[in-house]
Amino acid sequence: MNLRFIKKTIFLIPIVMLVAVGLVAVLAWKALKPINDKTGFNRKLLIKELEIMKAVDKPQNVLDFAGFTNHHLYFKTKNPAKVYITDSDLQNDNYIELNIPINRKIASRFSCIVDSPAVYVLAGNLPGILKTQPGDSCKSYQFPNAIFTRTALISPNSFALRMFEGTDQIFAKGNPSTGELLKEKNISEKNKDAGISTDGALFYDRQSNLLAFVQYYKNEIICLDTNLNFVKKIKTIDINSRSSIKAAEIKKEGVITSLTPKRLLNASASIHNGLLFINSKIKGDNETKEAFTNNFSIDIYDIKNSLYKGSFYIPVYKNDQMTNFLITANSIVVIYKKYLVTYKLPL
Amino acid sequence: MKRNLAIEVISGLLILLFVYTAVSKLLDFTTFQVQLSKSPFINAYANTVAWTLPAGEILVALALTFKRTHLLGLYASLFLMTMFTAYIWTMLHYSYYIPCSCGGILSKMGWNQHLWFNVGFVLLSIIGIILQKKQNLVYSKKPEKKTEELPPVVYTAMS
Repeated sequence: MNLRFIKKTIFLIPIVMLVAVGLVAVLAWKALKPINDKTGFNRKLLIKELEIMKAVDKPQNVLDFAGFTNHHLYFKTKNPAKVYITDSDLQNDNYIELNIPINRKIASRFSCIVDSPAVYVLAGNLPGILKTQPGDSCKSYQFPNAIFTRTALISPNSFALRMFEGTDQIFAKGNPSTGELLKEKNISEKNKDAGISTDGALFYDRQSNLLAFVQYYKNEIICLDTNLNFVKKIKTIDINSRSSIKAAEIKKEGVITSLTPKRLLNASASIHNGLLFINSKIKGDNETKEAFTNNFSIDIYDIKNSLYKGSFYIPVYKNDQMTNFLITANSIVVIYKKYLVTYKLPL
Repeated sequence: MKRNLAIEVISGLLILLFVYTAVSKLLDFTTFQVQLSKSPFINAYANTVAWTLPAGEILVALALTFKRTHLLGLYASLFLMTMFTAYIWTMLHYSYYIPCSCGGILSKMGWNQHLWFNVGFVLLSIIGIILQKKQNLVYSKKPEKKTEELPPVVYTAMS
């Protein structure tokens, strides 16, 4: 082989590749720089490491939490007619079969709430609420009259909802068996963006009797009473965080979608006994990049007194990422992509 | 002969890939533009990239079609495929948000599958460049035609 040929080819190929990689590296650096800058807050870590109680392989069809009692944990699966159940130690697992009709619309978006022995399947796209018990027939309510995206059970047959009104989403409270529906009065921001920029997770706390809405893209928690009266807004500790989400309608497809990357500030949350636990995606200035990347930061807020109590880490487990977590009386139950793990609650 | 065939096959595959992806993007331009705007790395340049990327892919496909620009087309393919591969890898490892991938049949692939697909085409581009350069070298070394030497002119004295 000609030496000149070898030299020219050997050098030119990697040069072309380096330029290409360099261009991407510059774009990435520019985009990620604001995220790597100082955030202006410190996280108060309450403990160094959580104590693991039990870890098991997660069945592939398990998606999310559906509820818990003192002795059992319930999980939503891909099939609305099946609920996965284990005891508090993640042992003795089984499936509860429900008399839910097979329906594409139900399966396209649903949540499952177990208020033992009742099981509610809340089908946001139907829209409708189905109530059943194992071995019993299913009662189906065409309620509410608009698509809904978030739900929280207040008491048997009483739900807090986040539902569509026009091209926005609002808070509502309803009873599917009576058809009663109460809508909020001027609480939600109306941006005509299908509620994308104001999306979040909705919770009801029995102890404080408050509804808490943790916003995904804003550093605040909206608290309402059970009559949907505004109580307060609690700011989360990442005081300088901003995530600007813009959305618009693609007229050709009749779809409203975001036009900017969705930068989550708060990824998931759980509420228990007046304490709201939030998985924050914003690194504190006193945290190392390594610690923040290898763990999920959970910030604890007393929602009655609007106080930040401190934080702890839920670790990445066997290189697996957390998808959601649940706080029970004395444990933290974590759903990873491939595992279910319980940790001792550090409080 | 074999080398020629290999170059043609590689070029054919690259042309097919670029034409298919360019046309898919142009046929559903609004969706493509919206998807670009959701990328944390490209958001600021979404409108520019939306036009230049499919145009660039078509130009590269054209360059691969003609013999004179074949090698240039292969280098351009290497550049584009390396850039796409680096983009996917960086998104998977550093991005805080991963939007849907590009259109057509490739949108059926997950991001990891897409990454390996691109790596395959990077390797094909490299092989194509090496083979094309070797072929160019062979053609440039073909022997020149020998011109016949005329005998020297001999003058004889006329008696």
